[in-house]
Amino acid sequence: MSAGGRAGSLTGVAWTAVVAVLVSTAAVSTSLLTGTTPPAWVVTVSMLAWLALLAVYPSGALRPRWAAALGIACAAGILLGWPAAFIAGFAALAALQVWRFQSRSSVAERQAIKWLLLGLVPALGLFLGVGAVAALPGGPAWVLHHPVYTVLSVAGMWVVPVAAAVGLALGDRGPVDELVRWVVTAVSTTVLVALAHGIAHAVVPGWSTVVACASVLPASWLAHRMATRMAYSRGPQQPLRALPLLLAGTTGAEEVGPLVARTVRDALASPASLVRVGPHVLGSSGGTDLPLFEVPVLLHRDEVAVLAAAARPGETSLSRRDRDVLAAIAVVAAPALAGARSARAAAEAHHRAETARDRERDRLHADLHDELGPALSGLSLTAAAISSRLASDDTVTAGRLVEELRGGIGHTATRVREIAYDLRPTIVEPARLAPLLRQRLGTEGPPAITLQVEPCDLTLPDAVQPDVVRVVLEAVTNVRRHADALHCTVQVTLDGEEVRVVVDDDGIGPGTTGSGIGLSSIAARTATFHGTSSLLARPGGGSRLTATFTTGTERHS
Amino acid sequence: MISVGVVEDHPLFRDGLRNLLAAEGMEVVAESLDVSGIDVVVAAAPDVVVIDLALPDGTGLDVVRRLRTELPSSRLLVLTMSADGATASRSLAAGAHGHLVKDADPAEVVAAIRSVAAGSVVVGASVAGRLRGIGDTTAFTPAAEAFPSLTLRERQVLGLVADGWANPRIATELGLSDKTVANYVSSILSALHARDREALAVLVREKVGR
Repeated sequence: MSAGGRAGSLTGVAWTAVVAVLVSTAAVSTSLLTGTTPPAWVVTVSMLAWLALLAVYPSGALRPRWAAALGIACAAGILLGWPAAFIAGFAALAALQVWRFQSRSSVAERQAIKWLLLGLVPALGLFLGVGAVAALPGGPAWVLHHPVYTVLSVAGMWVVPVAAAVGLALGDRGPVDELVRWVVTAVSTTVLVALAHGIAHAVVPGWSTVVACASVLPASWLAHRMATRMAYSRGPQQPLRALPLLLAGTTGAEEVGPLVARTVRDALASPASLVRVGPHVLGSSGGTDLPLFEVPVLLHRDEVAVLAAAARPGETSLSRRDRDVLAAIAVVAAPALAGARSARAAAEAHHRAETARDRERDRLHADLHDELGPALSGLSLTAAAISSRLASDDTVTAGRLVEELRGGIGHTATRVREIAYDLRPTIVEPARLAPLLRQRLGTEGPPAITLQVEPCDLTLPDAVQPDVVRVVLEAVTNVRRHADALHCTVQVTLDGEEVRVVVDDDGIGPGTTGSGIGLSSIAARTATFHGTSSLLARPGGGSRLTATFTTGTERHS
Repeated sequence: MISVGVVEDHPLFRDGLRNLLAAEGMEVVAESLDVSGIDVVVAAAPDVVVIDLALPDGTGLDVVRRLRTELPSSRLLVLTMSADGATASRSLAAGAHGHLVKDADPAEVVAAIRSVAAGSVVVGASVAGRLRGIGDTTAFTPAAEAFPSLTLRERQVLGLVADGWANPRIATELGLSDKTVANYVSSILSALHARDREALAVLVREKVGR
């Protein structure tokens, strides 16, 4: 028989027991409500059905196997007419239900048992609480014969099999945790306060009300703790114990975050959990839109990660026990999370290096493709024009074009030199911006170049300095070639996180032939650093190029 | 005599083109260095306008679209460094009458201008074999001018993301690992301040007009 078929037939056993209890309860309760004594065989069958239900609920299997012997012994006692056998069997099999709940069970079985407990707690609370109070010396024994108690006790008999049936039908669906917590809290508080009242009534009769009132707060605190433990009693121990082995079994750093997040969620019975390093989420479990409460994971006094969990449904925050559990998980998971953090940092550094390499290649590509390529094509067109002029014996124009060609070749050669210079290892260059710019700008004139760097010992981050230098060089090259200027002033200032480059000249102003070169390259460089660039006419003549860069917001930093 | 307008920001190329056309009996009647300066060209109403695609303040495709409405009688020739078929397709789709690469032989440049002026549509020999269907919707790489803060590789990934490709497919296409593609996507999102992949697609549509 297949496992599925076997499970199905076993569930049938559990259903049979539930139905048997329901039928026998119907018979017994009918007798009680009509004021007649139920036939002895009905009571016997009812007791046997109850024991069967407790023995096989919820899976249909007898677990542990010796529960069968216990059940048979108790059944024999009942058949021999010893009611105590039923009480002993009931208590023992109910305890086994709790054991089953604590030991290995599926989530559905666990939740079904909670439904059974949900029925048992108010029923037992009623029978034991009222019975205990009535049995106290001088207690109100008459309540046991009161019609209201009869109706309540019939209701108490029904609530257990009904809850058991609901548990079998719903499995892990339904809000059983919340119900268990509230019902257990309410019933336990009531029973505890009633007991306090009853005991006080017997011992110090005049003070029973005072004692009952005073007991409300401690009783409800104790009841709430019991209820929480019952509702979420899977407890942290099992997931905590399993964590080191599971961590050892991971095959990659990327598995650590999700594994720890799952452990947190299981250990706290929380609806959502998350593990993060800084802003990066290493793993999460459950709905991430819930408010999360965080505990740091420390290793060598360094925060390697943060564990976060949402409060359980109906609760507003994590309890102290929850925080202790998180701290325990943090201790176990810290080395693995530190490894995951390092692996992530290494991957990010690798990506940054790759991107930096790509950007350098792009820059070289732009230099060759957008500047040297069109320059050489343009020179080729001029050479073709010379050829055409010579063919038509226009030597005057051809001579002028040859001079123009020579100038263009010189320009291109200078550009090649600059590109080659940029490809040298940066280690040979001065680190400070002012001497670096002085070295790169040279003393070639006109125009006479004045350099102002503020502060004078300014050194920019490696990510931005090369681009600032290139923009200054491109701007000055434009001035030298096309502005026909006598003076050129270069200002580089750092204001907060903004680097500002201003290149002024007293030449013929923007918008003239030739001033466009390099502008798109300057715009591209500033855009990379969330900056801007502009070339405008200066009042009184000449032009002003302004370019800004934002340090610290370099896109991959 | 054929009158020519030039929209080109590179001074040496512009000088060379002017020299060549003058030697071949054509006249450059107006020049603009960028998109914002093309009013000069519109006012001169030349027979042919030669347009570069990479301009400091925009793309030559914007110039093509504008001149098609403002100078309906002028013929438009795109002369650019891009030798890929997709760029040529977009030039023609935008309304250009010809697409030529700048490193073409000077004689080919002259012949192309004459042909375009005569009413023909010209595609340079070096790109003709790579020409895609006009309005082709297959993946493309957005131009550097549209996304200056991205590397070429990032723009390749961006183009595929904008076309709705999933990371594994992008990884296969570009010969990268899934993880590397995911890293590229997250760095693109951060560089462009975009919320998600859909926002990237919208951004590409806005900037590139696809």
